[in-house]
Amino acid sequence: MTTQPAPMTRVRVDQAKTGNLSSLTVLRFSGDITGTSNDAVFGAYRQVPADTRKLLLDFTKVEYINSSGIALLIELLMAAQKDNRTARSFGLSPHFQKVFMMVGLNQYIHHFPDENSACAAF
Amino acid sequence: MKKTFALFLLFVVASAGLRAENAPAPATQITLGRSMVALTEWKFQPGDNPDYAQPAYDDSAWKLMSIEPRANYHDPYFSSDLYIPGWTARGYPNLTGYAWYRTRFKVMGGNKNLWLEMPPDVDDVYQVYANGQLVGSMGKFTANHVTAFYSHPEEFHLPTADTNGDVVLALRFYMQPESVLWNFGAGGMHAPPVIGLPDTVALLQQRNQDVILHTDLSYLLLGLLALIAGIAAFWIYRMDRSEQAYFWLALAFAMEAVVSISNFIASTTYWESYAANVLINDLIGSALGPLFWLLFWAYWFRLRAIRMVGRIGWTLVLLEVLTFSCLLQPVMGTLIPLGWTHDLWLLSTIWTFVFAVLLVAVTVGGIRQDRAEGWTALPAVVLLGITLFSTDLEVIGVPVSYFPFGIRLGIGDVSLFVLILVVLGLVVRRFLRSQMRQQEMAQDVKHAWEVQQVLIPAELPHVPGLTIESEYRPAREVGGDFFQIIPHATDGSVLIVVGDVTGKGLQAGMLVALIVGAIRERVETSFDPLAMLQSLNRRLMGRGHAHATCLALRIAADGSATLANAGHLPPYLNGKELPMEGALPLGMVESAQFSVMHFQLAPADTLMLMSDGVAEAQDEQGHLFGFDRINQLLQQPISAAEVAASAQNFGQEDDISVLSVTRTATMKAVPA
Repeated sequence: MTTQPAPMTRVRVDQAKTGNLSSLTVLRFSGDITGTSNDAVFGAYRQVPADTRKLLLDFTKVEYINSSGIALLIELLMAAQKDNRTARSFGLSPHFQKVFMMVGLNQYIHHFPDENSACAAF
Repeated sequence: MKKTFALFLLFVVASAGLRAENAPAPATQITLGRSMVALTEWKFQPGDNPDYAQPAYDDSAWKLMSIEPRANYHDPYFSSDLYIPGWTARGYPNLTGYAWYRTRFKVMGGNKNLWLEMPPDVDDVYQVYANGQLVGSMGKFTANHVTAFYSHPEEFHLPTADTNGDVVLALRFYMQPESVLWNFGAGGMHAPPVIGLPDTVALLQQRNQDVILHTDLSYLLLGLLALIAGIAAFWIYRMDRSEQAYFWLALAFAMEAVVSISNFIASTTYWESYAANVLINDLIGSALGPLFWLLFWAYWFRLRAIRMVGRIGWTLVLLEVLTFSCLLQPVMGTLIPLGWTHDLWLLSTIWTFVFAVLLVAVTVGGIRQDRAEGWTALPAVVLLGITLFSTDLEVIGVPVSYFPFGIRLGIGDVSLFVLILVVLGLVVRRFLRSQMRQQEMAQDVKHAWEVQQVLIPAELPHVPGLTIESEYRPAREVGGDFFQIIPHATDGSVLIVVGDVTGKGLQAGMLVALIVGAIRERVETSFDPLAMLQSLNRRLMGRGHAHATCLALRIAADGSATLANAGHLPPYLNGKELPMEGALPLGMVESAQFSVMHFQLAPADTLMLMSDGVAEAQDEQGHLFGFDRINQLLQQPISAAEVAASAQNFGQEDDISVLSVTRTATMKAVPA
């Protein structure tokens, strides 16, 4: 099989409102999340305003996360927890929802089916 | 304009007893046989006046200006000694703008169908009047503007002589102020015009054009060579964008190509004006070209002060462009007084000198980084530095062009050729060294693979009462999956540890070696699965990105099993996934809580353990193999090898390891 180069990870940092209209920061991931995504992921996290306490991760445009990518997300969520931030996520495929549960990521983040329900849950 | 061309004089046979006398002397009498006659004696007058074109105008006060080749004047652009210095070297050092030449001759004999061949090397452009009638021009003249081009040979048909049989030729020349700066002896004609019969003048014109094409072929050849080199450099850069040296190399070659091809077009056609050529060649090319070379060498040698070099380089280029712009029309003569010309030229030379010193300093820095490469580059860089002064050398009469086989080879062309050779040599040297390193790395990988063969058991230990099958298919030579099957020495139990470290390749393989070593050490004191994971977790903590999912399973002699999991895919018991809580992989958190469960393995029960390489196999469309396909596969009896093959055939992305454990009978404790 010809190995295709993995789509580069891109992360867009957006601002949104929660259910009670307080502000939150959304990290919108796209492409694959792998071991080479470190700069993209943590580069985006560094752009999160210091006073942000609510973090929403958007995985709707993510197609693949390998084990290194999972480790990277765990590190991201541990960093968010250390910074007193609450995290939610949405847009994960059922496959990666299972992987998230398997590796204990549900200790750090609650997953929701869509952005509205995730925002409302903050 | 610097397109000296004296070779055509070889074709001129001045057989017609041409003599010039002081105006208003009678016309020079010319007899044309089958040859041509060079018009060498002219009257000359600075300034501009339309009356100068009229045959009746009295030019007796004009100065005589002989356009006859003299000894000891070497053509700085051609391999000829027949160069005639222009008016700035003959009594009018500061004259720019308009000036006129006049001559009067009478053709004896019956043939009055005369043609004029103007010299190919003039400064800068001209109009030809014969008996007061404009017969043609080289360059574009409008009421308010003159557009100059590189000199080209031109032929003109002369009108019939007047009633006396006399022909009065008046040549109206225009020279731009900046031409004085980079031409030795600029001004007017550098070879005599020639008159002759149509066929012979046409032959001469063709010959002149052929010689120009031949002489300037070097521009085209080197331009194409630089273009190919630039494309190759850019291709290498696209392959590895971390090597920025190739980006600047591509730009440097591209700039050389643009300048050379622009010169070729300007010297052989009228497609590109002189001003456009100056803009491309002298303003942009001469400034940016050396800067790109400077940045290439700075990146090539990986100098620490690369940012400072860049800042100084860009500053010098800006200063040079600003200074040089002041020397060009329309700035010169309007915003800047003509009297500042030489001071500005000196300032421009100072910037160039500082730039050349910086270029050499970068190479000396390169010698400190890599002596062999630095010393190899130094001659090419020094030559490039000298090339930056080629115009200054031309102005003071130092030859900077050579003519092997009649093709002009300027010092800049030689420099470019040497740079191409040196860069090619250095790239090949680095490529060979890279190949050697890759061979060494391949050898390291082979050794790592051999070590892994020792760590990952090819032959499984015999465990009474269990049938164990394993299949391991790494994605690369060295994999990141691992498993260990360790029978207890006395109680009949067996400890099975499977896992998957993050990443692939050699780095993952090294981590596997660490983990397997830790497992072997731990079982000396404990067979407890949870204790095993906690021990491994401590080993991985604080090792950066050293993480691994892991599963430890102890099956006792009576079939009771204890399973501890750190983020690994739970085993499938008789085709059904064991329900386990998730847990973090090893190496993430020091005080991680790992999930533990107990169950009974009955006779004929089969446990299937596998790494995430199975579920995350991907086909060409990006579809995952997924958990549903695993569930379907396991609904019927299937071997570990068949599971692994299914995933691999689907599209392997990661290491694949599958272990099946079937309880065949009651396991017995080994007597102590």
